[in-house]
Amino acid sequence: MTTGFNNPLGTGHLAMAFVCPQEYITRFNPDEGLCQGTIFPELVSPYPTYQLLLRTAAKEAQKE
Amino acid sequence: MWIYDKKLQFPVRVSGPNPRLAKSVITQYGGPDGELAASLRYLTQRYTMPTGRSIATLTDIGTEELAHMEIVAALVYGLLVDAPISEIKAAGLDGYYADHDKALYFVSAEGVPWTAAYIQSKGDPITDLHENMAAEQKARSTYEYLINLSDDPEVTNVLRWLREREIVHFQRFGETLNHVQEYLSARKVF
Amino acid sequence: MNGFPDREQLLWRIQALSFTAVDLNLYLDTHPWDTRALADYNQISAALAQTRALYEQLYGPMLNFGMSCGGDSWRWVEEPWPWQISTRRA
Repeated sequence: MTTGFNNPLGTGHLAMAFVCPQEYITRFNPDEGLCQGTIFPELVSPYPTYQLLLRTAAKEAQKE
Repeated sequence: MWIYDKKLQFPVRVSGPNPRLAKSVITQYGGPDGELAASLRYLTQRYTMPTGRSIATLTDIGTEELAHMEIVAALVYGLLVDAPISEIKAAGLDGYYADHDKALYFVSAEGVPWTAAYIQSKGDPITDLHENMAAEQKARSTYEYLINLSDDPEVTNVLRWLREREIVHFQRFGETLNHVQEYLSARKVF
Repeated sequence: MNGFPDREQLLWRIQALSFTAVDLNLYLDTHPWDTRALADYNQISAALAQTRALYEQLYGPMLNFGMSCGGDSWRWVEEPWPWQISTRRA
């Protein structure tokens, strides 16, 4: 059977959700992992985005 | 059964008393998409999960949510503990203070008391896992709104951390859904 | 320098190791065949146990219900409790 954990369920499986499984390649060291909120770099999802943070910081620096 | 680990999962600091912020943050303690709801939802659903793996995931994430509930409690506690009455009144927390002083209580940002109506344990594992994935997204969104509201960078740092955990939990519930769907469809072949 | 890290630093180290173990634990629940992750988990667990033992020697038990050694006096009841540490500002 080709359906299952590592493969998309394919066109035969309508009305079913599927989440891409994570593949463990590397992890942060414990200190960095704790700061990030996960040890897996591919699961890091910052809010707001880093670009927005940079723009905001630049704007505030201009005001001073 | 559960044991208690005498530490926070992530360290919490606040810059100073801030009842106005506490009033909003408390929603992740006793509100509809908060950590108590998450924890009880997963811990009660786990009894009827169909595989050891799905039971393990629900048990472990449900347990971690209790640790997050404690972190939110530490935030609210820190933001209220040294707050003068004048600030509590200015924040519109008079009613809460009258009923609870500066104690922690399970309410939403608008003071609605927690209810089991916030959670579902439907029995059908596919249904329950979708409920859980939705819950993680709702929690993530709530943390984003709280980050938008926060004027304390120490608090914002903790909110960001809690938000990241929701994303990881969503991933694990998604993987569990894949596994349970495969397990159930394999069992239909007789 | 007395050779022991300060309390906050030691606690951070435990939080970092414990958190790594939790994230690996959740990963292993959905990837139970991953022997590399399992080896990682075991290594982290061992380091965590060592670091906890040091902290407990200095500051008393971290776990209740028989999971930590009780020591010579019942320090479990001592403050600070975790949310009290959070409100100590420099």
